[in-house]
Formats: sequence, C-alpha cells, structure tokens
Amino acid sequence: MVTQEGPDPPTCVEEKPSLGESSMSSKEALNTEDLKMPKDSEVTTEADIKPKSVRRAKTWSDVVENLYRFQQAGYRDEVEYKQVKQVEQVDFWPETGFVKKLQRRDNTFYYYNRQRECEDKDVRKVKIYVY
Amino acid sequence: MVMEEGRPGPSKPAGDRRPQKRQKKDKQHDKQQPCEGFSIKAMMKNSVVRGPPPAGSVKERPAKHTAFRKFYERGDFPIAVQHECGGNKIAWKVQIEELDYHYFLPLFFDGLCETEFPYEFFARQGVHDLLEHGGNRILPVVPQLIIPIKNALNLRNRQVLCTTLKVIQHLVVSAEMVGVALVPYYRQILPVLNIFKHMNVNLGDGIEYGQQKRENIGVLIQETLELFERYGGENAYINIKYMIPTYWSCM
Repeated sequence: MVTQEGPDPPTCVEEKPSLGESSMSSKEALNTEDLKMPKDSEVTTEADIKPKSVRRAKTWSDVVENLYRFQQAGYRDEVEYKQVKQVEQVDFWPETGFVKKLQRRDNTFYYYNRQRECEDKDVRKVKIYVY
Repeated sequence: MVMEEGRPGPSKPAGDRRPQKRQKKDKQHDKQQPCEGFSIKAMMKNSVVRGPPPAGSVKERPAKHTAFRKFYERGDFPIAVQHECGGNKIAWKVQIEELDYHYFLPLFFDGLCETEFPYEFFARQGVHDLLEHGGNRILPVVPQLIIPIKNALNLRNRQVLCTTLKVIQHLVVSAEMVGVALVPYYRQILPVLNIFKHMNVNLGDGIEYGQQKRENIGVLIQETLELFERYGGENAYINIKYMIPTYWSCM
C-alpha cells in the first residue's frame, strides 16, 4: 500500500512543477527537460555538437598549451579526441595538468613533455573553438 | 804578386774571402739542430730538443657505425618521424609502457654517437621520450647504459658531447636513486669531462646571446657535475673530487 503510494507523490510533485513552469521562463523549462533526458542521448548530443566559431589564441595559458598539443596530434580539442577515439579520459601529467599522451588517427602515439612545449611564436597558431 | 811564407803579407784588401770563410765556420758552430729528446744527438752542444708531440686529448675521434643505425635500417624500432611545422617529432607505433627497456634503452643510448639525420634525431628524441615516461623501469637498466655513454663521450665531438651531457642530466633526474646508482661508474664517465671542463668562452662584459641554446661545454659540464652531487648521495662529492680535482661543491 505504502509502496503504491510511494511513486505517486514524486510523479505528482514532478507534475506540479511542470504545470507551474508553464508560467515560468523558457530557460528553466529547458533545464528541467534536460534533466529528464537519459545519459545516452546526452552523449549523442555532445558528439553531434560542432563548434560554432573559431578564434586564435593571443597569449599562452594552460588551456592554450593543451589545445596546442591536441592540434599537433590532429584534433581540434579534447571533445573531438574523445569523440573520435571513444575514450573517457585523456592522459595528463599530474604535476602540471598538461596532456601526456595522445593517439593519432593513424594509431601512432605522441608523447609530450611535463613542461611547456608551445613556444611564444606558436601561440598565434593555436585555434580556440567555441561551442 | 809573390808572397813568401813566414812573412806577414800585405794588408788585406776589402772584399777578401777569408773573413767570409770564418763566418761560415762560426755559423756552423752556432747553428742549432733540432732533434728528438732522450737521444745521443740531444747530448750535443748545438742541438735543441723538440717538445713532446700533442697528445690529442681534445682531438675528435672518427665515429663508427653503431648498432642503433643497423637496427633502425632493419626496421626494429617502433618509431616514425612526423614533419611538423615547428620541427620534427617522433610518433611511436607502440606504447612506451609496453616496451622492454632492457632491450631498447641501451640501443637508443648507443645512437648518441651518431651525427647524421635521421639517426641523430631519433636517438636524441627517443632517449628523451623513454626517460620521460620510464619511471621505475630506468633504474635496473642503468649499468647497461654506461658503456654507450662512455663511447659517446670518447668521440670528443663537440655536438655529441653537448647532446650526451644533456641526456646524462635528464637521466639523473628521470627517476629516484638513479643518481646514486651512477656513483660507482664515475671513473668511467668523468675523465672526459675533466678534459673539457675548461672550455668556456670569456666574453668579458659581453652578452651571451646563445645562452639558451646550451651549447657551452664548460657550462654543461658544470651543470652535470652539480646534478651528480645533488642526486648522488653522500659519497658523490668525494668521488667527483677524486676524478675532477678542480671541482668545488655546490651544496
């Protein structure tokens, strides 16, 4: 009896905010819809997401250094690398947080140093993709 | 004009040959003859002993083809060169974590003697990658690296010296206890460093624009010795001092 009543209140609770959200802003409605979506569909949406714009880096930073390493291996950034290689995690150096090892599209491996590899003259060549 | 014997002759005219003959005889007496030392001729009065011939300690030795070159041409190494815009880069066909360091690391160190492309590039960059990602697997292989290091240093080639010294510096800091493991082998590595320790450039108050290139052998040797002392443990300094008496402690 109690168990039967158990699931009801949550659904009722969920329904109430959904009804109430009709008067709320569109952003909040979208957020609740996202929360309801399963994880598999979230993965597919990330894979389908392509960058909207590109700009060049002007000054060096940790992010620029990692982007340089990904682009040297033939990828746009970490998102594309995970999409192409179907990898959940990328190898990073624990001390500095820079990329340690990447597998290229021809299945060879690139190994990178602990310290900075992107020189000042190469910073301008690094592309920053905006999603 | 008849000249009678026993009587003094007339005054000698100018231009007579007799004084010239005497000068020739004096020159022969005064002329010093160079000769080799520790010989009978050296005991003579007018002989000058030549100095000892140069030992050639700083002279470059010819390099022989290494096993690294043979193995590379045979295709035994899982490496390929990638030509990037910033320079060349090594692409590994196999993960470094799966490589047998006992087999590959001494081979790559053997390639340090090479001076031609692509052997020199592969050896230098390959050693760098193997040491960077070796971890605990480097320490057991250290005894096998001494002979390749010694062969590279014995070539007395300036470029090979610079490369080998940088590799030794990387080796010392690559893993724990490697510096201590190198102490028994100082007597094989340090004599060549003792020969080139004085090769510094005296610029006065000038600016060394190429300092970042790290091509000054004297400075590189000093850095290497200081790393040996820092990472070599308690007995490092005394062993370095035994081989290089002019070295002073940095600690």
